[in-house]
Amino acid sequence: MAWNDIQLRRYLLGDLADSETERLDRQVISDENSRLNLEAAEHELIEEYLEGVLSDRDRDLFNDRFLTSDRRREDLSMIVLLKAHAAGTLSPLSEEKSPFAGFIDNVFTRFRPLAAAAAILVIGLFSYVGWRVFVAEQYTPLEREFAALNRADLGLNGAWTTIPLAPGQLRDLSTVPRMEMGTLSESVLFRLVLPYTPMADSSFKVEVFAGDAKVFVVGEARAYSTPSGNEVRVLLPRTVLPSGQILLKTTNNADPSLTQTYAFSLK
Amino acid sequence: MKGSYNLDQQGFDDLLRLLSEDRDEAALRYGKLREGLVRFFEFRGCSDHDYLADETLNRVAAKAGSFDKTSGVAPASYIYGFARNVLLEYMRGPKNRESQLEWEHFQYSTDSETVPDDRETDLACLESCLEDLRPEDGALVLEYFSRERREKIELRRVMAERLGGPQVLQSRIFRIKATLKACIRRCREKKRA
Repeated sequence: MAWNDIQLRRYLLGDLADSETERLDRQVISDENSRLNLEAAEHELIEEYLEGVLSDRDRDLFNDRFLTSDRRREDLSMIVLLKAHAAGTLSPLSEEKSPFAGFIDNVFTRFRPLAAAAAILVIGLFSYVGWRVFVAEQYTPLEREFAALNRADLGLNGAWTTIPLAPGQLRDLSTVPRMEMGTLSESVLFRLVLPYTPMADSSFKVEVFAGDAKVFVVGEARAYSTPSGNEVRVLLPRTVLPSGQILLKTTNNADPSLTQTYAFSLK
Repeated sequence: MKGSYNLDQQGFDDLLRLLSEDRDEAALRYGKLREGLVRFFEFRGCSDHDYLADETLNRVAAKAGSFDKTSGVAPASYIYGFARNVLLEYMRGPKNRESQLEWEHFQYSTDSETVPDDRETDLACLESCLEDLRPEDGALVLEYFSRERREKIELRRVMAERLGGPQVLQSRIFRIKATLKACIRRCREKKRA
């Protein structure tokens, strides 16, 4: 069985269902590929922890259940060192204070010749932070986590429920597709049919509305070409989908006037 | 953790027979099984992974003689049952808690005045270990860790394209990190001696 990144991450955080944990345990013992995938997932998790992008819950699990072995602490220390060194010798780009910010401060004192360049970068950094705070959309940790997942290639063989939807005018919400909450996997892949061919490498903002409330945003979903046309694929966490009528709105980031809406209901 | 089981020749022979009737094949499988068990305990967050893997194998060996091959239970499931018990005992045991306490102490002590010396040592070690790498490997690993979040993902995509695919990039970075890790460990020990 192939495991997706979310399942591997939940396993590492000790937060995967018992039956799945047992299956993955057995694979770890017998299959080297599973071990390589888990190792990659471990490093990704450590980096996200250091970047401060884990949700509060995942950060607690990381501290309580993940960071329990000497090897992982050693890995974490080494990645802290490498990131600090790379940030000191290249350019610092972190927009928020992260757990190794103090480390980077310390490293900066070691690279006085770069002070002038650093000052220019700091001005740029403040401008960027200001832009993020006052202009750009603010994302929750879960949205940031799913933003990263949606940047990957979303094939149709993943271990998630797939829901294809066509765009609609929504004059009558009683005719929209209906789904049972209990049948959905932890993450749900929506295939949103596009009525036009987007430019290569186009990205789409996907907003999820329940009633008038916006409940989730993915800033950069990707478009895919299929034998029957073009579609936007977006992976969403089941937990943000409330029961009732749900509306997905896509906006082409290259041309915000190109928007489509897709409706369905969840019971 | 219950008292450790000792491995005797009879137990070892029984264990090998459980893995395969062919002795050479069984020895090969034993090596792979041990490696799998070590990694299993690592991924479940245990520090003493080698000891726990050996403890599991010793327990299997002690019972392997009574394993009924006609019972329909696969040897892999049988062995996993032992590994799981060893894991549960480890989780409940004081050693795991001691290890956690040591880490908490380390976390609290990161604000103290003594830590910058350690950081200076670590950074000096990293710099010296980076110099020992091939220049292209040093540059590659620093480039890999030079960005965060969205920029990191984009950078790594470009790097993967440059090197021939994400798997190639990942395995090169893993190899460089493993070399650096061993080098930094040696350097720290030397400087603190």
